[in-house]
Amino acid sequence: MTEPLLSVEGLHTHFFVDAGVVKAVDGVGFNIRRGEVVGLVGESGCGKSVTSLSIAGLIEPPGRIVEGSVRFDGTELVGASERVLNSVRGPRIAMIFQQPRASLDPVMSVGRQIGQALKAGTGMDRPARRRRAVELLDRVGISDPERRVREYPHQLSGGMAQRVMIAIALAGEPDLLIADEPTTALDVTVQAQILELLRELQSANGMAVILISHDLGVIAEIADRAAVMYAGRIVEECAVSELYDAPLHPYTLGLMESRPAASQSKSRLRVIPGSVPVPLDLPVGCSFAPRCAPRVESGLTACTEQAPDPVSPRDGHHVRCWLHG
Amino acid sequence: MALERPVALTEHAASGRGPAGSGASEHHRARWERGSWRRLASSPVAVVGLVLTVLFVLVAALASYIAPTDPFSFAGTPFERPSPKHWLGTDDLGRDVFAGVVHGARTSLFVGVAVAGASLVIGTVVGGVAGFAGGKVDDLLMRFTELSQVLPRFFLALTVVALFGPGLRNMVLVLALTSWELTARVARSGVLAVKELEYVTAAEALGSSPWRNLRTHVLPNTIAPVVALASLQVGGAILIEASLSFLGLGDPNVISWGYMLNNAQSFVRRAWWMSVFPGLAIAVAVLGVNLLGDALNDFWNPRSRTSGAAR
Amino acid sequence: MGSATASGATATAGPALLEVTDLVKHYRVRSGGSMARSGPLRAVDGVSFRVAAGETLGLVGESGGGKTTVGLSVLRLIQPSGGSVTFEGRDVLAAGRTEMKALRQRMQIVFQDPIGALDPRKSVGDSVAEGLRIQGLAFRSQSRQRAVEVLDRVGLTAAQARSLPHELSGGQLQRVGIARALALDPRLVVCDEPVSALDVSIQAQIINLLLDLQAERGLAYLFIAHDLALVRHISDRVAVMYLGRIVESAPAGELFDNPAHPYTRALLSAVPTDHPAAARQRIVLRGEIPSATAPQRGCPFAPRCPDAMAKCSEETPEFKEVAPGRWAACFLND
Repeated sequence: MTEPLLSVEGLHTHFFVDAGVVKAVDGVGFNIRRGEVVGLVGESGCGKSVTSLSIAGLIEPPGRIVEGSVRFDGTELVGASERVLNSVRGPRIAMIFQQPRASLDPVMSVGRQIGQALKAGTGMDRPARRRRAVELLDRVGISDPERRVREYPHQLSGGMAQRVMIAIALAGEPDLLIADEPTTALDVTVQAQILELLRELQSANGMAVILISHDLGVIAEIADRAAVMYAGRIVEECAVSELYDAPLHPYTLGLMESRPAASQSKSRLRVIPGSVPVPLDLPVGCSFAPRCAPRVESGLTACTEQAPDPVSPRDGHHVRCWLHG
Repeated sequence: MALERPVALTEHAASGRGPAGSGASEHHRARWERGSWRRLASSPVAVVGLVLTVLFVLVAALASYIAPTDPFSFAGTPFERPSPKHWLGTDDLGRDVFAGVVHGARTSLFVGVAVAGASLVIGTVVGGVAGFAGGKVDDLLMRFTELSQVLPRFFLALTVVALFGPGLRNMVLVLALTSWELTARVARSGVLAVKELEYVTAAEALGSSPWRNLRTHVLPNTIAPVVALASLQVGGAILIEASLSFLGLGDPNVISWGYMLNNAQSFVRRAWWMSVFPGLAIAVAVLGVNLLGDALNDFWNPRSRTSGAAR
Repeated sequence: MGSATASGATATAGPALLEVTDLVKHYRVRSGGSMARSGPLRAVDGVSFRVAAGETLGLVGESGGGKTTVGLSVLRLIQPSGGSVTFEGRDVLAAGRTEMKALRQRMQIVFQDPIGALDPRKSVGDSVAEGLRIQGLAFRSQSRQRAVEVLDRVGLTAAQARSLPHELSGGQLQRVGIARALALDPRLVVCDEPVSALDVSIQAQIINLLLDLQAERGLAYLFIAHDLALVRHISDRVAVMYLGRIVESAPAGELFDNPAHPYTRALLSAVPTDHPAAARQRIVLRGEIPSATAPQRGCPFAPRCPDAMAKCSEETPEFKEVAPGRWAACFLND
């Protein structure tokens, strides 16, 4: 077994706010091999974005990683110095976000922004950076890159801006790309273009990708494996096809069944009752227990007493649920 | 360029990238949080401002009880030092300085509140109508506002007093007519922002008339920063009144701190108490209302507010 | 534009509750910068459709397509530049103040942003009661009682009626938005992306509520959304918009199973898969939806269309019936 590129273990990231402690990430662990695409799926507040920010060392007060380890290619990132983090973040771990235009500096040309990323990573001189910026824009499918390189963010459409963000991310030839809801703000036809681009770049460069999304369909498009998060924990993790064919966790099952495509037109949809728990006030035991229909049917009492540990009923398929414990 | 209404709901999900997810982002957006008065009260600046302002108002309201002596009557011999009989001494004509300071608070408060109140009303009406009506009405009203902005209020006040004679009423009138321009701008920008919000459209969809919308939804949701600004203007008006009176352009029949300072000019070396105490009174009163205004401004300004969650 | 025939575009058996003919909304664009000397922004450029009582018409398309502008124009929350809107036989765009107020009682709207659509300073109960008071249907205490009843119907408690908007979750707030529309007992509700701001597990709950209410009260919906699977699920008929025009309309099932317009086909193929193993032919469109300011000749979709012919950039295809009940604006169907 080769060592994974990224190994997250027992990660706890908490936010200390006036009202109490928000356990945004509460014991998350997973591995990513080189060149692998892992989808992190869940609803708002489940901790998927905080997980990615924790990996990149971007948690700011009142948030803090209180426990756990993030090892990237043999280097421990939790508690690492700013110098170490800067040598990893950007050149080796790159990130793209949901709002590409908000991530770009409005008063700097596209070329200069890519150039900055290149300068940080490679130390190329100015003309070389310029040439490389044009190449990168071309690489991410922007037509007429020589002209575009001189443009400013407000001149770009949403899809174009996300391509520019991807170009910036690619500047350092990263080993890992973290894409946080990269297509959520885009129209469906543009989403298809961006996903296609990501898939194509990923296989060409052999980079690993963490794709964060609330949309199971997006995950299914390009991920090899998927991890479903609920209330700060990964409740199920397995190959994407297995997630669709044989989901084990009642929450995953509920998400699958509540898709409109899963039932007859104009009929009532299956629903998960209730709503996502307030992160300040998590229930004792399994966080999903209050919304879990199979729990009621099975009459399990452990669910409301103790949080389940991950078990692996099948090879490579992990689930946190007493029904399978 | 508003083609469709701001559609990007996904952006809310984005701003909820913080730990508490949508819960946190919703908190961010709610301007009125219950229990935040408690937070206001926990800010030292706000507490000091509030205490000083309340003190100022109490002194003005209860002046006749605190200092029963008429500030214009001859209460003792001239230039008495502060003593148990005359706490703050007497002036060149033997008038009680304490009585002057206490009764002067009335004048200052009257000028401050009258000017700020007038500016609040005029500014809100002009700015509110301009922002809500838009188009030509907006252009016209805002040009008019700019016109009033270029008038130097201090010198205008000087001129009016020189032409029509010193009088408290004239002074208040001039200051009121020249100090609403900023209020109008703040009110207008608030109305412009709020009138595009969906809850205003929603009310319109329920059959609400534009006028009703302005009254029940738009103004109540824009008035907070306007009120904060008005409280800052109280201090400004007090200072201008004092300055004019100091220059001898105040109303000679009304006791005021500026009038007392003007009178004290010639006797600074001989009777320091004649200038120090009215001066202190001005400083404390203006400090108090300004601190309170600042605190209110911070409290109501959404950008300076942080909800519990990060980002 | 095929305006004369277009009103029959989405004909249904029943009499039309809402009939929209040749609706146009142009915005004047402030000239400046690179936008100088461009024409008006044609947000909606000749749209016609009908909605029968108790029916759901889904309106889909990408952002910038003009869906929301259509929704707001139907309720005259913005004033269209041209065309006509007829609701229950009355001309909405020509209605005077009193008539308009009466019409508002019959047609309502649910917005996308559940928190933005509620006055932050008013309790949600008051927001629901507001319409009853404006319309003079109930006085203060009575309206409050009625609001509690309506909120109860959408699944909120009397205690929650006293909450301020920021104290409720997104799903609960959207229930409030629905209750506010419902309180006036309308015949038509325009739902403008009513669930796209909500979490996946909450979306299904709101969709069920909308379906239940429709079954109970015979409501008609104009359901505006970009989520195709959702629109297919809830709609009887679907109209697809592109650059301010309807390019195709058909009964929901047929439109999704057998799209007649290349844009509809591209849109459908762009939707993420239902299953990772389902490999399929994807039509990846070139470019993005252009701004609607440039003066156009020919089919608006031609620059991005994978099947475009020479003719397409010369002439504008007529929006016409290509099969019974199915309408499309594309030369490929000739």
